[in-house]
Amino acid sequence: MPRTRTTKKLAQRIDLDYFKRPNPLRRWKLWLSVAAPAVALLWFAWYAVRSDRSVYSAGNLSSAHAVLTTQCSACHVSQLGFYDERPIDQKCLACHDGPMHHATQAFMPSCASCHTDHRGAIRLAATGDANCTQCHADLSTRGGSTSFVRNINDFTSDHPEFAVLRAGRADPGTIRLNHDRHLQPNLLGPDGSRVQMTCTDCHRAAADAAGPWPYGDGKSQRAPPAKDAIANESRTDEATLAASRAYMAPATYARTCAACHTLQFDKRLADSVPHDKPEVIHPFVIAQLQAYIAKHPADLRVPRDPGRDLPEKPIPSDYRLLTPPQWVAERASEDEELLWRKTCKQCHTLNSEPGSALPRVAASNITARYMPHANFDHSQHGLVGCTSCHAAAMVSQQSSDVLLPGIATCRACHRAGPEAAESRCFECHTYHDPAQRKPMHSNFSLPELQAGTR
Amino acid sequence: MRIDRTHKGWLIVSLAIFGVSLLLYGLYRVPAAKGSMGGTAMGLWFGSVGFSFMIFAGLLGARKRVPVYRFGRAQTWMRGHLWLGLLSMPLILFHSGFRYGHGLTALLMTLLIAVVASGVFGAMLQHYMPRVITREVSMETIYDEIAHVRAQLLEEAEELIKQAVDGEKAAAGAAEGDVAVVTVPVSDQAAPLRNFYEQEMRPFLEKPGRRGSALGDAAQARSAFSQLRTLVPAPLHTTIEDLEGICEEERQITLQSQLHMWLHGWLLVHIPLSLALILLGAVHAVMALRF
Amino acid sequence: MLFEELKDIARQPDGTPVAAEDLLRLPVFKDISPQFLKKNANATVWRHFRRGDVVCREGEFGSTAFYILEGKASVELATPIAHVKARGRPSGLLARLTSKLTSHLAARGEDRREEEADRRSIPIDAPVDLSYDHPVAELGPGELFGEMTCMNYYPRSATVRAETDCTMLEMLRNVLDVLQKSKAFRAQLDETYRRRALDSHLRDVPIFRGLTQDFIDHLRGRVELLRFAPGQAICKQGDPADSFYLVRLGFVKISEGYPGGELVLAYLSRGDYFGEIGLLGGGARTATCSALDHVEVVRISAEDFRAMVEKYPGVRSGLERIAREREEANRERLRMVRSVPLESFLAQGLMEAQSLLVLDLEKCTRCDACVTACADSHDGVTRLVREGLRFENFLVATSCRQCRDPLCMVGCPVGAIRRRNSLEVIIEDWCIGCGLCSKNCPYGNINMHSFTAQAEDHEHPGHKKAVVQKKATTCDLCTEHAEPSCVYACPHDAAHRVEPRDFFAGTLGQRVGRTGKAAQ
Repeated sequence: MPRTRTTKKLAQRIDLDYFKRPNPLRRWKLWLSVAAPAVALLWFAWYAVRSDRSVYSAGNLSSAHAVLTTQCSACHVSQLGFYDERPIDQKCLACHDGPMHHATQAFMPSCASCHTDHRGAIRLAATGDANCTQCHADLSTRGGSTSFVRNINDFTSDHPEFAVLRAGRADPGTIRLNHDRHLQPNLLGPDGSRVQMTCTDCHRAAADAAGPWPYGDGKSQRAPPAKDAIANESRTDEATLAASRAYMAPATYARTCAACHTLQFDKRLADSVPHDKPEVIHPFVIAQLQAYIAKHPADLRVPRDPGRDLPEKPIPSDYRLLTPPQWVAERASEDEELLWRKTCKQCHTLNSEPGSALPRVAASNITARYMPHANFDHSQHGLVGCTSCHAAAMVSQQSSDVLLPGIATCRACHRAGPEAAESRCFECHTYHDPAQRKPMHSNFSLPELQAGTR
Repeated sequence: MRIDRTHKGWLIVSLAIFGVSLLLYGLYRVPAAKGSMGGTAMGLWFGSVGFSFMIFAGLLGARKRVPVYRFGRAQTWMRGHLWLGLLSMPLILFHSGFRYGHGLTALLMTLLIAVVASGVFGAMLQHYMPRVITREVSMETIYDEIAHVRAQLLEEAEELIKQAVDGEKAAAGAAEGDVAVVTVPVSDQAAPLRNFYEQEMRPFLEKPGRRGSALGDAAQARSAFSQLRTLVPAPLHTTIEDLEGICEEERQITLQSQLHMWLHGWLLVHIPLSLALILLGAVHAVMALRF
Repeated sequence: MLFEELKDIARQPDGTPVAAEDLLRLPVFKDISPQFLKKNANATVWRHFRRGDVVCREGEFGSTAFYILEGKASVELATPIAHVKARGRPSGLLARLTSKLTSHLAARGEDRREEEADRRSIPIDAPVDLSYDHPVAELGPGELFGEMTCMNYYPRSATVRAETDCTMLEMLRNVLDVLQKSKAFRAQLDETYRRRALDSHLRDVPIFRGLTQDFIDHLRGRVELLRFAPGQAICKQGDPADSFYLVRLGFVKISEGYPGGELVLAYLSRGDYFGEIGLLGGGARTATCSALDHVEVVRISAEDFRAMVEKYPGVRSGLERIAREREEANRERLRMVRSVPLESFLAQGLMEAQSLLVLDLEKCTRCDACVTACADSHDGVTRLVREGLRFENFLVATSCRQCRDPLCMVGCPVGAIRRRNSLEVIIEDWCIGCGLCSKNCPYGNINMHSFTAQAEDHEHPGHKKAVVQKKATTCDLCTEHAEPSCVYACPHDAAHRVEPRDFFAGTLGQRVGRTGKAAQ
């Protein structure tokens, strides 16, 4: 008989409790579902038992801290709270000195909030802009007022122009120098030669200041600049500055002017006066003249200069015979008049001092470092020629011109984006006030660093 | 579950969630710092939401154990599992900043990828395989009862053969009259059938997975049976048809058991790994906040 | 002894045929033709039972009726009255609390099905019905039991046990048939029925429940007891409505004719009633009521009915409500029958179904969640088997189809499988496990399920022992929930409980077109 299929026949082939009976698929599902979490638990327990916390690390330590990889407790504190093992500031300060940024800052962020580690071999000091703009995007201080710009979000868009270049500011230096004149070709150089000057003839990194200067006086090259010749707004360490390559050594007379701008004072004498205060020059001049007249007594007989006859005045005698002191006094007065009114005044500003015959030379106020709150290193910018950034110097005729390049020059290379130079805050600014730095402690011995606990 | 037009609502909501997350990620995390981590406020949100999606997905198994409780229709839970489970992947990627991490986080990322990949694979299987099974196995039965049904098929075949042989015997006996001669053999006519059954078909029915059986292949079986038909008289042809039908059914349920393994086997990877993932995920959440 | 005259012959051994002359000495056999009795000499036998003997067991098949001459017998349902549970009743505080919680979580609400009769009695094949709370009754001399089994070959509906030493006559169908035609016997039967069962039957009709005892007594005297042969119409559609009927014995088919065929509305058995629609409507019968097998009915005339209704207006409103509901339900069914052409459906008998559980095989992952859910919400026994024939890409699961013509209901000896006022077929907890409904269902939707229960141990009175019983189970559409559990639990949107014509209407429309084209 042919096979028939009816619902009833098919249904009656089936045991009614088949779905309750164990079957291989369900059994395997159950066993594996127990086994997998069990294995995971074992894995967890394995690490817990060995107190190995490295497996929970979110990433490798920064290059600076990598040697501490086995020393979790160097930063992570376990007695902090019930369940907290986060790194705390005290642990950072045990090794590092993180001086306060500003006394009036509105709040103190924790170390780890800006310097987040476990992000791989990065430079930990390279903090993101967000850490700075959390205050500086809308600056407020505990005192309420501030002299700084209030809203800075990044370098490229709204960082203000450098302070000294803002409207109304001028170079405070009192030395008159016309860069444009000095950079002309065919200048009258030392010993009657014709020269073409370049930037590096006068401007060099402080560390290189010890070498020979082409237009110096050859003698005083090793001497440090006079104390008041440098005026700056911060308490920069002069020794550090003197030895660095970041900033240019101040251009002093002895190094950069002396070869051409000689300070002769009398046509009879070839010497120059020392480049010093009038109180020093005056005795020098007197001494020089005294020495001269002692050698040339014949000059005591001064002939009459018909050019100096005045009408309606009796004609003086053809000769005057002076005593040496008289002659020195006369000559000194003439020479000093030349000096104070012409030679020195060519560069300096002289003011007459009441109650004194000698003028006073105004302080030169040459700025060695225009931006005390920002770091700049000339040696890292060697790829660019001086005049590319200091373009204004080529055409500057006034000393009052500030020849510092503006922010636009910096932004030519330092912009946001992968195809530009670093433009984040940390590249130029430091949060921790470097003036308040203290020496670092040593907490580890080498064996400790190598053995370590996790 | 066929992923068809009825999923539109879920798809739209999922795309919306994904879009919002992408936007937030782009706005807040990418510019924040290079390689910013899960510990930032946004990162913690992503991590929590992603983990909660994973937990919901994991609860599907629990839901299925109490099918009668009115906690929401099984269908809703299943769709939620599919879409929210899938969403957990991009959310965790946003949480991790697309970093693989090392140690526990690397293990978790591996597990997540494995679970989501196996889940997607399984969803695809469950989208296509039912149709395949329905088309290929017209004589489908219940997978768990296949052994039982096989036993019944064997019985049916035995019964058929017995009837055929006895029928022939009776016919032969009638032809011979009432004299029962001991040496009269079982009718020659049924012999080829019985031999075929004993040599080919019964072994096949008893062990259908065995290689080398001609009946395991439809074309070969057809030719075997048509050959058998030539050896056996016409009255027995209905028996042969029935036997053929039994073999066809046997082949089909063998195929069904294979297809069923495809349809359900991937769960043996997906479920255990997902449980491990959730467990370790909880460990990670605790430990990351601790440190 | 019922009849002293028979004392001497009553000593004949158990199983001996009763001689015709001896039979004729019984008053009940007075009108019977002696020739008939002589011809059917072996059709009646003496039966003697000692105290404690089992006369017949529920669920057994038989073909005889018993007439008690002497002694008392108890009739009871040996099967414990309980729903099929695969798991036992929770014991212990925690288990009970948990089960309460799970029951709440599973949102198992109140049974929302309309109850026409808060059935407090279980109809059996005896002159008395068993009370639900205490399903034991007593039979005494002059009482006949086993009529349904004898006339219609239904299984025994209860277990009868001799309480004292009994003497009975056991007779075959031909004798009983003749007896039932005899006036004397009928009178005795009617009297017994009126005395013992009619009261409870009347009270079982919910609308009559509020009646006073004197009214019942008044009514009791006025009712008619009528018999019908198989196939005979009790009342026809369109006839003037003049009576209300209660079924005493057998099965009555209620059907409605419409152009093209006949639609079976219901099967009624002992204790059910019909005819109120016609009476209330005041006019014609809205359906044909015919006897399926040997049927006995109690008839209440329209006069008495109306008097009753006038005296008790509450009764009228109750009746009207029921009549309205029934009419509405019937209209609904008829409307659906007249809709889409359904030729292609007939192949699987899907037309008969009012509700199908279909599984979309293109979405079903064969995960058995539906089966598990069904079992979970039905005490561990599934009412659904995920196997059957396919229609299109759907599997028509083996689960009750709520057939229009419910063949399962035909023959239940205790009326346990029935419909209330709504669609779904239910099996009450007094099912005796005879298995007839399971055999009758052409789709195998009803399954017999064994389970262990505690029952009275008759060898050790007062103690209980564990017995393995079988009961029938079927899908009840999960009416206590908003949605069938199988549909609710399917994760893949594959399980649907559908009305087949609406669900497949589109497909069938297309199908018809295609076959038409092919035929050309």
